[in-house]
Amino acid sequence: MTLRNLILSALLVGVISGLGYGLFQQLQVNPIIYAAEVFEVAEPAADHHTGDAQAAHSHAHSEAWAPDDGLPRILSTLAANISISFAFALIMISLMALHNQKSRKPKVNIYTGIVWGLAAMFCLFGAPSLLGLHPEIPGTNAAALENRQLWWLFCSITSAIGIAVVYYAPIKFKIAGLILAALPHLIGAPMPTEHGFANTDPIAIQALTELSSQFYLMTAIGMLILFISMGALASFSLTKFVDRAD
Amino acid sequence: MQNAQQVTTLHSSDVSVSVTKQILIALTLGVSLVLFVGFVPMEVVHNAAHDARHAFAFPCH
Repeated sequence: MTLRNLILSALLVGVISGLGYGLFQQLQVNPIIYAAEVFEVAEPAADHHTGDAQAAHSHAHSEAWAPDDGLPRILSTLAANISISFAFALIMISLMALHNQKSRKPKVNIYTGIVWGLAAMFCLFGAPSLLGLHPEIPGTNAAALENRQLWWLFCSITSAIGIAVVYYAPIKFKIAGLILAALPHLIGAPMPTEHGFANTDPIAIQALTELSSQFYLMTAIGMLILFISMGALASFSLTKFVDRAD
Repeated sequence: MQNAQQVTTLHSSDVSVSVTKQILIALTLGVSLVLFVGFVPMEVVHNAAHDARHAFAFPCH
């Protein structure tokens, strides 16, 4: 049964790549997040915009459950890493299966799988985050969350459809794919009125600026490793467990 | 003979439609899970996935 094989394949790919990225995050990304949070806690956000719903929403910790620092937080993050990787892998393997079933272009193999991974990285990280909203450490000034989330999803979807149009459509329509991929950037990502950080202490700003550029670099390296391995593993499990079973 | 051939064609196109449907269901499941872990505003989910949301560069608080 195709659905079961798709889910099991994605689970295999998601657990392996999620564990890999989880390990990378624990070693290279979390130290930056923790360091940035030191400055975030030092800033009483509520003092600045009393009664402002946005500020209250932004980091007011309510009574909702949150993992304790240390092992619970690490395990909770790891579970989220695996879940997101599983979800990404499920999307990728489904689209690969659709390609193999519907397209007359060559079937996915391990090399084109890596290209799929890079395309996925462009749609899920490069276009919406690196070129658009930028990866954020805690305490970065940013526009309203809902607007950023909507723009992020919009950008991700138009990038994916744009790439598909460029690849699959007849030559005279290919330009439409490029326009579609460029559209969210022409509209522009929602940006804060003032760039910088919630903490206005000069020492904090200097430290956060440095942490921010480290964070760009590390998330980009991590995402590159994640998506290349995910593309390769997804193509492998597709040919091994999904196509063969039909 | 012709009939038999027709039946096989019908049958195989039937199967291929249902395979496409299953692929689309899997795709929908994947998208829903991304939205749930990465984007849902529920405080509990946000807190649990906080560091991962940052590390995947999803918009977060």
